[in-house]
Formats: sequence, structure tokens, C-alpha cells
Amino acid sequence: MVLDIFILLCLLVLTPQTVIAVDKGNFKTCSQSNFCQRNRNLPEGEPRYHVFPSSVTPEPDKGILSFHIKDNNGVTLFAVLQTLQQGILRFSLKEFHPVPTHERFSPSEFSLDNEPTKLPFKVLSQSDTQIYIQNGEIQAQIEFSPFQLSALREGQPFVVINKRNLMNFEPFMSKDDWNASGVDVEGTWEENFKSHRDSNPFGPSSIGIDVRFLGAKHLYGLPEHSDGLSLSDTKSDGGDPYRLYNLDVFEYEVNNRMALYGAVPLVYSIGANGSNGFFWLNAAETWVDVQKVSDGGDSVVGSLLNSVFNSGGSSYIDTHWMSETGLLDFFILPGPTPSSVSEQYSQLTGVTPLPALWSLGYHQCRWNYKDQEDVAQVDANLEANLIPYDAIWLDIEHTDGKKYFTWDANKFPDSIAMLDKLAERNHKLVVIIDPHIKREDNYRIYKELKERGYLVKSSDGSSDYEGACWPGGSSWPDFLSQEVRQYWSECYLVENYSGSTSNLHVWNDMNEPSVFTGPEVTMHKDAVHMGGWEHRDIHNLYGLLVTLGTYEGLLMRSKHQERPFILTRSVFPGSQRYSAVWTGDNEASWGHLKIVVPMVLQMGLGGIPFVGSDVGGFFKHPSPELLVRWYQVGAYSPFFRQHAHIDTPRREPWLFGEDNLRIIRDAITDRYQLLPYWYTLFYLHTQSGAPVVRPLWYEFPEDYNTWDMYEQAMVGSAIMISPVTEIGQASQEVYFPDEDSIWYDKKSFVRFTGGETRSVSTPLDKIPVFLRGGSVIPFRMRVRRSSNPNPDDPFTLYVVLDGKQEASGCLYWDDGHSFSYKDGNYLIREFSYKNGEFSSAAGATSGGFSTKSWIERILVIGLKGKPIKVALSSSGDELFTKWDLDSKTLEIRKPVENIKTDVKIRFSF
Amino acid sequence: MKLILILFPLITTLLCSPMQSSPVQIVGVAPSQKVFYENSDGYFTCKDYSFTFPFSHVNDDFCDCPDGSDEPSTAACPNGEFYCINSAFRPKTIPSRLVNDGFCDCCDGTDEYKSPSGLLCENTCVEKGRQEIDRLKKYEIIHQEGYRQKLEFIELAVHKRVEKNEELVILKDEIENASDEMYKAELAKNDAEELANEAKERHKEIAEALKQEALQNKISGVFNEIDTNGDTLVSTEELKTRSELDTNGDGVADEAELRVLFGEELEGGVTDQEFTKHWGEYQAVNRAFQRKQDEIIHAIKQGKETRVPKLQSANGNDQEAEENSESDDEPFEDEAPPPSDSEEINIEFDAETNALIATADQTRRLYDDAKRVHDDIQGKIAEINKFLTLDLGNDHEFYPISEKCFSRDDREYTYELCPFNKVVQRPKSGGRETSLGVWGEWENTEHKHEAMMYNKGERCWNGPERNTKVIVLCGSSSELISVDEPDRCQYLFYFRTPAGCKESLAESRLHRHDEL
Repeated sequence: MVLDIFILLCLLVLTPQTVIAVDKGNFKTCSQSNFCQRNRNLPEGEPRYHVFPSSVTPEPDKGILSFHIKDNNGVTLFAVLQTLQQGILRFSLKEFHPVPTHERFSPSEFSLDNEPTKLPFKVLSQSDTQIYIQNGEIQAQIEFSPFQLSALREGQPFVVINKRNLMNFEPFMSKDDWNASGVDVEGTWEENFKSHRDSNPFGPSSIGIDVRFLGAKHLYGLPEHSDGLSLSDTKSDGGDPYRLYNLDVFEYEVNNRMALYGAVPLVYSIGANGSNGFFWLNAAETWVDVQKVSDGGDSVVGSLLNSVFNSGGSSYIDTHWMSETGLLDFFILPGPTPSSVSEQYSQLTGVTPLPALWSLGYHQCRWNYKDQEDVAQVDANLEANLIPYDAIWLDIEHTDGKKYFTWDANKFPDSIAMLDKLAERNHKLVVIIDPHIKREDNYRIYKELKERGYLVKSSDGSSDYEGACWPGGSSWPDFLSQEVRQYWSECYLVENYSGSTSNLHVWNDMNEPSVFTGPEVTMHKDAVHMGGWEHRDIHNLYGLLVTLGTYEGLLMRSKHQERPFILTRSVFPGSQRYSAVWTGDNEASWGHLKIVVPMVLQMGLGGIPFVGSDVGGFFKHPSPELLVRWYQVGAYSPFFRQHAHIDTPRREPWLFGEDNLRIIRDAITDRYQLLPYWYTLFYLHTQSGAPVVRPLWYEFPEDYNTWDMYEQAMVGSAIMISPVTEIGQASQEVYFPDEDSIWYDKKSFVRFTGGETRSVSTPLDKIPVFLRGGSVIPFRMRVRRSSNPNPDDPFTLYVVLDGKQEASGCLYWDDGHSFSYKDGNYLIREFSYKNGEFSSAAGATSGGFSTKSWIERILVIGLKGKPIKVALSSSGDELFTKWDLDSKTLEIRKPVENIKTDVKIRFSF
Repeated sequence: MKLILILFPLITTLLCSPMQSSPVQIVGVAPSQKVFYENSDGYFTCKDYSFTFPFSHVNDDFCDCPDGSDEPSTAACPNGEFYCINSAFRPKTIPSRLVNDGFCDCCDGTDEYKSPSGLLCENTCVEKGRQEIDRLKKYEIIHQEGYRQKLEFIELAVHKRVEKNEELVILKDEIENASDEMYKAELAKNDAEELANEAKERHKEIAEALKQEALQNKISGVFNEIDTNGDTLVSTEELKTRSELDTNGDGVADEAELRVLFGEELEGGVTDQEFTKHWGEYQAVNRAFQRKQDEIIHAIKQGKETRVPKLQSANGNDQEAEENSESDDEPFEDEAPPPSDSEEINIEFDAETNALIATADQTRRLYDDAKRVHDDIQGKIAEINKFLTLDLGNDHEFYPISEKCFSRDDREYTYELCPFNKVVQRPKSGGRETSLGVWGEWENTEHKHEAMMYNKGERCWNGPERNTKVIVLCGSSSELISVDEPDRCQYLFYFRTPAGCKESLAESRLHRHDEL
């Protein structure tokens, strides 16, 4: 009976509704979330927390400054300020007296790449009222009464904590004590939402803090929201704060601050103090209010004044961070540039390791390719239509009754033959493996998980938590446990995963986790994990833990030889180390296409660079025009996959007529030709944490015109995209940032001057993509069946000159799939053009990768005139060149016999 | 396909330097194109005449010609083509992007002459050729048999069409006669009906007068019944005794109730004439009264709670009581309505009129019979015309299968194709069949008669109407060989039949994957 209801509910969730729109009633507003209300309603400016001066204990050599804070009720809290690398400050706060009932959870073990390095600080001054210390270029000042923490650069504060006295720390206490405290009990201990009751046995333990970004004009970050890039003022429109609570939101809306599948509590500011960051490390439900306070309004003059760094503009942005429970733990990232904030963040939470080259190619997915024959047909059609691709994907229908790690034997009678046939032509298979486990006793994995007590428990702490998802009645492995993750990892071993080979890769969906029958379509907060942690404590971390288990499994499968590929829907700080992510179940509409770029940018700022959207839109059927435009966006997104809902008509590229096929093929070809550049960007990300696709302001923070832009983006620092996201758009306005820059159309090489907005014509086959003067961009013009069938294929270099007739760039290359780069099997080439000479030289850390790959062509764009002679500097041997009069480009034919050869080429005018 | 791994001889690496390499041997060129690659004067001109350059640029792994013609052997040109001779099998032209990509696309292996990781392709052309010959032989047999049967199909169709045309000639004769008969019968019917109607009309006037008289008698009867003192006036007192006039059911017909009925004329008593004037209102009230009486009786009979209290409810609740009884009293709805005044008197026609009516009835029957005969013939003609105009192929070769149905099972369903009629799906576990479409048309393919469309099937829940495309292949027997649902609610069948065979083997599509 219960199961029947589950199935029914499952069907309801599956049902496409006639009107596509999120049912907002299924999700809490701040007013329906008791702790959000409690914190949001705190009176501003009433001092509540005071440092106990004699408790202040600086340990400069250890980089630790500890002290006690007392609240107005006399409760003592224990605070620690740590001074970390690059001036990063970490502050954490917990109860001073051990809590008998429950501890405060910290996701540090999973989110932080490793324990951050503490650096010694210097005490500049200390008194009964404050302490002032120096950490590298950054100072920190703690004022004691009331407690206030400021981060300063050259004595100028840029971030102030608890300026508004909204800090809140609800210590765990007994229900009687809570009642005695006189705070309204309704909803604090037990909370009801719709038909669900949260027993909340440990009572209120929420935390909150206010953070002021001095001089800031914009804040960005807080993925994942389907919102524009610059965070909006959440107080002025009477709406809710930004919510961070990983949820499976059916048919989500665009331009909304509702929670989505992922949560990264990180913001970047930009303004008079450059760019600073704030990272709130907490895995519980979190809300963030943003309030913009501007002195001179948003006038151009005001912006202009404030755009001068360190000029002390007096506008600021206030934020208020509220979490339901957990350790109060945050980091101030001092910047002062966007790239230094992302670097500081990546030093804490890690980077996406080099992805397998194939995973940067084109992915063909659908819910569902029905059977082996269907897979073979799609493969054959892609080939017949000259569309390169790297992976074909199978959604949930490939399994036997949604039991993951199994196959529907009727549809996939010989999955190994299928996998091997794909592998012959260098194609991969990606299959979905979700974390909900069908409760069926003859399902081995369920049986073992149950028998070993590896499943998340219900609120009673002993029976297995049960809910509904695709298979009907399901339970969820407790990924918080290392032992359970180990079990999960072993499921991926070829010997355990029947019908799999090493050519199979993994998609972890529904890992928020999605529970069709749970409150807000997720797990009950009072469900119990190992060690007695409540689901409430760890919720936003669950998706990361699933991918961690999968990542370890795929590593084990290849005996640590091959780079795993995992796609996840749910993310948390640290997820970037294990998986790529996509923006979830979007829909085939122009509004959803328009939101792709900002969502990709937001995720990249959140330290997760490998991101993309379902090309075409998951729900509903795109018009050919929308589909084509989406391909053009997808080709310039880090993760590039077409996907579609089972109820939509087929939408593979060849189904829309010859013209559309050609334009789609062109977009995919663009992607493949640029793979060396994409790959190099992912390498650069591993070095600095820089997002692969990034906002214009990230690259040009001093050009304030870019601060509020989100429809254009930079792919690395050399390519700007301004994709068309509107129907019937024959031309569009493009802003070319930075008045010192020169830009060139990627195809026609038409020149544009920085600092100007120009109209460019955008027929359907036009992707507005521009090359930045001053760059050298590596291409591979030969497009094959997939990303890398012939490693000897040559490179082409675009040398795009700036106003000084100079350019530089680099290439990272290796075998594209193994970890041998860690043993030095890679190469880095540094290219430059300066003073009429092109040079290709080994990078400072160039490794020993050996290859026969060569440079077939150098295309020089933006030369002032045609050179009279182009010759090797060493021998004086003249090189064969072709000058194109129309585009004023010079093509050098077969200049370098091996990519590793150091070479200089002299241009004589 | 088997790949043999060999190590590249060391010397290769020395020769492979792109700077100095001499052109590789010209592979990938069709014999007819070889002439383009003869180095006569040390220069090469692109096939599209766009450029001329030193011959050393041919096949030097750099694309110089926009049409890709300078690199027939390498993968350098995005639009290049590579020709495999495939001796002992079929020559094949592949996109040059497949050259040296680590997969043997040509059975002679020539496309992988410098394969990455030194893979060498085994020449499988002989084996493939043998398989191809076997396949062709098999196809030849199937095709021959199929085509032989197709000719039989055509003959059957010719016979059928001759038969149908002959039938049509006869039917056309018949329908002429039948039209005549029908026309005559119609005239006779019209005449007789006119006469009968006239007689009825005449009779009706007389009957109307009689009816009025009878009504007046009835009214007078009631009047006299009320007028207990016989003073030719019904007084208020006399009326008050009438329970049927107690409209609100409070036990007495009071003056207010009576005033509603008779108005001013109640003053000083109602005359016979005045009563006649208000007969309609009286009848309405009386009928409502009778109805309530019946209700009470009914309720008592049913042993249910009596509705008397409702009838006795106070003023103002009447409306509600009335409404309730309206809606609650479904069982009464079935009972015949009270007879209306006009029907209270049966009109008997006189003998003359009856005779005329009988004649009219007789001629009408004769006309109906004639029309039925005519319509039957017309129906048959339409059916034959439909058959004759149905596109059953250039030589009507699909005729024999148009009279049959073909089915195929998958795991859950039985699918049935009735060509030129319908497609259905039936759950094997039993249950209702679902229409996957009814005959629509031949799809407009190059040769026509290669794919049928069945449209307007049952609408999918939240989706489109189901439809089915049936791709027709050549076979030695008629058989539904596969059913598929590539898109939700869009079905794709492959159907093999002799009717799908063409005269030449080359034109006959025998396999699912022969492209349309």
C-alpha cells in the first residue's frame, strides 16, 4: 500500500504538466523556515556579543588567535581566528563548554582540499578594546565590545564582520532551557511544512553573521541560482534571501533566488576595494540576504569614481548569512583582484584536476537511447553526418527496473559488445548511476547495503530511511561514512559491475538527494547519518559525497591510471575535485537559453569550472532556431552535452534539415578545433583556480562597464563570446571591453576597438566570437571522429596581435587521459610575438611528453602590413606564406616540424 | 575487424619529418582521377582551378586547395575525400578525416597507412566480398522469388480490377433504373401525401372545434363542482374549500392564494366566463397539487420519511421545498407527464381520410424501398470507385495485401498492420487495443510506394496523436519484420512483401538499413 502511494507519487513527479512552471508551493520561503525568520528578524545594531579581553590569546607563530565571546545571556563561545596563505583569514566559533546533546558539524574534511596552511602573524597593537594584527599584506582588527572583525589592506578596511550586530549563535540547550529563554517555541523545535513534520530533536542551533563589503558596487557568486550574475538586493524587492539548500526543483524558473541543485556559499565583490571574497563553510540549509547601499547612486560618474581602485568610494554592500546549524566557520578572501579571489578560494577547496580530453568534446545524450540498436543507430548517424562526438549517454531506462549497476537485459543484451564497438572508434559510453537504491531484496546492492547497515536511518535512528524515487520505494546509502563510500567505490569495479568495461563512465544524478516523497522533494532533516549526524547537518554536502565515492571507485577501477569522468547535478565546495556539473532540468525556451551563460559563469566563480547546460533544454521541444542557438552556446560552454526529456520528440542534429545540420556541425567543429585551447585553460585552472569561462569583469575588473554584464563572457583570457539568445535576432550589440584592447571576429577577422559597443550581424550561422589582440591561441583544425584519434595531428596557432604588434599565449598538452602527467609526461609551450619575431619555447616547467605532433600553420592576425620576408631566425630559411588581402592575415605554411621544437621566426617589413 | 599491432620500423620516424618528406605514394585516389596526380611539369593545379603551386605540395600533409584536391592521401583537408579500391569488394569513398584515425574504414586497410600507435589493418576485402556475394546471392533468390510473386500480385490485381470494372458497368446500369424507379416512386408518394394532408387538414378544423367544446364542458364541470350552491358564481368561500388551491400547503386556500389565481375577479365571485379565463392557472395549481399527493403516496409506499412536514412548512420556505422536491424526485421524472388538455380528446379521422392516409403510407413505403435499392447500388459503386482509385502501387501490386492483416509481437504487445486500413497495438496480457493510426497516404519518397503513413491514431496522454510509418521492403513473402517506437508515440514498422520488389535487384530494397 505504502509502495503504491510511492509509485503514484513517482508518476506524479514524472508527469509533464501542461503548463511548464515550478510549483513554488513545494518549496519553503524564508517565512516558512523558522530559523530564517528568527535570524532575519533580529534587530539591527543591538550589541549582543562581546569579546572577553583577558581571554584574547595570540599565538603569532602558529597563526592562531583565540578568544572568548560572551553573549547577552552569559553563554561563552570559543572563537578562533587563523591567518592563512595570501592573507586569507579564517574565523570559527563554537560553544566553549562541550555540548552534551549534539556537536556542530563542519564539512571541512570534505570541502577543503587539505588543512589550510597557517602563517605566522604579527601583533601590531593590542589593548582592552581591540587587537590589530598583520597577516602578509592584510591586517585584521578585532574590536571587543561589541565584537567586530575587520579585514584591512594598507590600513583600509574592506570587509567588516558583525558591523550590524546580526551575529547570532544559538547554543544547543535543553528544551526546558529554551522555553525559559522566552523565545517563541512554535516551529523552533518541531517544524511542519505541508504534510511533513521535522522532529528537530536537538532544537534550534542556528548561526548567522553580517558581512559588509566596503566600497563594493556588485556582489557575485552563491551558485546555484537561475539568476543574473550580479546578486540582486534581496531586501528592496520584498523577496526572499538567496537560498542555498540542494533541491531537485521540478521545472525551475529563471531569474529566481530559489534554491537549486547545488550550493556554494561564496561571494566575490567588486568596487573601490577591488575584488574581495567571503566563503561561508557550512553544509546546512543557508539563506543569504544582500543589501546594496550606494552613496552616489549608480550613476556613471559614481561608478567611474569608484572604479579607481583603493580610492575609498563610500558605497558598500551588506550581506547577512544564516544557517540552520553547524559550526560558524568562514574565510575572508582578500583579493584584491577577481583572479586572486578565485586563486585564494581554490587554494582552500581545490581545483578540478585535468579532465580527460575526451570529456571536453561533444556529448550526445537523451532520456533515453532505448536499446543497443538505438545506440548503434545514433552512432552511425553521427558518423554519417560528419558530426564528431566523444560520448553517447544512457539515462535511467538502461537499467533493470532502475536498479543501478544493472542492465535491462532485453534492451541491452550485450552491453560489453556495445561498449567495445564504441571504443573501436574512440567513443565512450556514460551511464547514469543515481544514489537512490531500490528496496528489493533480490537486488544485491540493496541487500548488502541493508545487511551491513550502510543505509541512512530514519529519525528513530535505527530503521532504514525510506522514500520514493525513480524505482519506487528506495533507500539511500550513507555516503558520510568512509566505509559506505568504499563499498560504493567497489561497485564500479569491472568485476563487480557486470556488463561494464573501462569504456563506461558515470553520471550521478538526483544526488541532492531527490526524494519524491520527502519535504521539498528531498530527505527529511531528522534522518540520521553515521555518528549520529542529522541529515540537517550535512544536507548540502550529500551530493559531493556521492561523487567522492564514485571518483574513488573509478580511480580504483583503472588502478589509478585513468582520469575519472563524472557528471553530477548536486554540488558543494570541493565538488570540483571530482566532477563536472550541469545546470539541471532546464526547458526549451529562450529565457532558459539566456540564463545559461550567467549560470555557467556563476558556477565557475564558485570554483567549479566544468559546467554546461542541457543543449536544447531538457523539458519541451525546441524550435530548430532555438536548438541551433543553443548548440552555439553549448560549443562555448566548458561541458557540452545535448540532452532531452523522454516525452520530447527526438532532436539529434540531423533531424532539422540540411541547413540546420550544417550550422550545428559548424558549432561542434568550432568546439573540436579549439580543444587545445580548452584543454590548456583547464590546465591553467589547475594552476590558479581560474574559471575556464569567466565574466568580463573577471578579466577586465577596471572596466566598470563590464561589472553588470552577464550575457557576454570570456573563454579564458583570449576569446570573448556574445552568444545570440533571442529569437530572430539579425544583429546584436556587443561591448568590446578595455579601451586598450583590440578585438577580431573569429571567422572574418574584422577588427573592433576596445571600449566600444558595436552592432554585429548575427544570421543563424553566426556565433559572435571574438579574439583578443595580444593572444596566441592553439587550435587543431583537423576534426576527426572524436577528440583524439590521432595524437600526431598538427596544431594551428592563431597569433592575434595587439596595438603594440605583440602577442603571447601557451599550450599545455599530454596524452589526454592518464595520470602520467604527474610524472612529467606533459609539455608546455610558450608562444610569443614581439619586435617582429615569433617564438615558440618550452615553458618554465615543461615536462618530458614526447609526441610527433607538429605545427602545420601559423595564422598572424592584425599585422600592420604584409611582411616582405618571413624566415627561420636561426637558418634564415624562408618560409612559405600566404597573405590574405581581405582579412590582412598572414598564413605561414608548415613552419615547425614538431611542437616541441624551439623555434624563432623573423618577420621583415 | 581484426587489427594487427606492429612496431614502426625506426627508419620511419626519420622519414616522417614533415619539413622534408617526399610525397607519400598516392593512395586514396580513384583510378579515373589518377591523371590529376601525374607530375608532368612540376606544378599542380587544384581541381577547381583556384591555385597552382609546386607539385611538392601535393600530399605533403598541408591543405592548399579549397576543394581539398591536393591532399587525396592525407587528412589535411577538412573537405577531402579518400578513395579505397577495396579489390575483391566494392570501392568506397570516405571523408579524409577518417584517414589514419586508428580505425579501419576500408576493407583493404589503405586508409590506415600511417595509423596512430602503428596499427595495421588486415585486408578483409576478400572475406567481405565473399560475404557480399553470398548476401547478393541470397538477395537475388529472395528478390527473384519476390518479384515473381509480385507479378502474380499484379495479375491478381488486374483480375480484381477487371472484375470490379465489370461490376461497375452493371451497377451503373442498375443505378440508372433504380434512379428512375426512385423518381417515379417519389412522385407517387408526393401526390398521395398531398392528398392525405389536405384531407387531414380539413378534418383537423372540425376536430379543433370539437376539442374546444369538450374543454369548455370540462371547465364547466369543474366550475359546477365548485359552485356548490349553484348560483353560477364561485365565491371566495366556495373556493377556500378546495384543497388543490392551497398552494403553500398550510391546510387552507386563503384569500391571498386565491387572489394570485383569480385577481380582481375574485371580488363578488367568479363567473363561468372568468373561470374559463383563469383555467390555465387553475390547471397549473391543480397539477402541482396532484404531484405532491403522488409524492406522499410514493414516500409512504417506499416506507421512507414522509414529506408531509415539508408540504406543511411555513411560508417563504415553499420555494426551497419546491426546489428540494424537484431535485429529490428523480423517480417521478420517468412517469408520464399529465395529459395536456388538447390531447384529452382523440381525433378519429373519417373513413375517406383514413383511406387517403393509407395510400400515402403505401406509396411512402414503395419510395423507401426504391431509395434503399438505389442507395445500396450507389454504396457499392462508391466502394468500387474507392478501390479503383486507392493507390495500390504503379501496377496495383499491393492489392493482395490490402485484404490481409499482419502482426508481430514484442515483449509486451502484439502489433497489427492492416495495409491501407489501420495499425493497432494490443497488450499481450489482454485489454483494450490502441489505434496507432489509420491509413493516410504514401510518403512522398523518391520512388514512391516505399513508405506508408498511418495517421490520427489515439492521442497519447499529454502527447501527440499516435502515427505509424511503415517502410516497405522487398521480400519473398509478406511479413511485418520489425516494430519500433523511435519517438514517443511515433511508430516505425518495417514490412517485407513481394509487392515491394522492383524489377532489378539493384532497385529493390531488401534490408532494413538500405537508405531511403
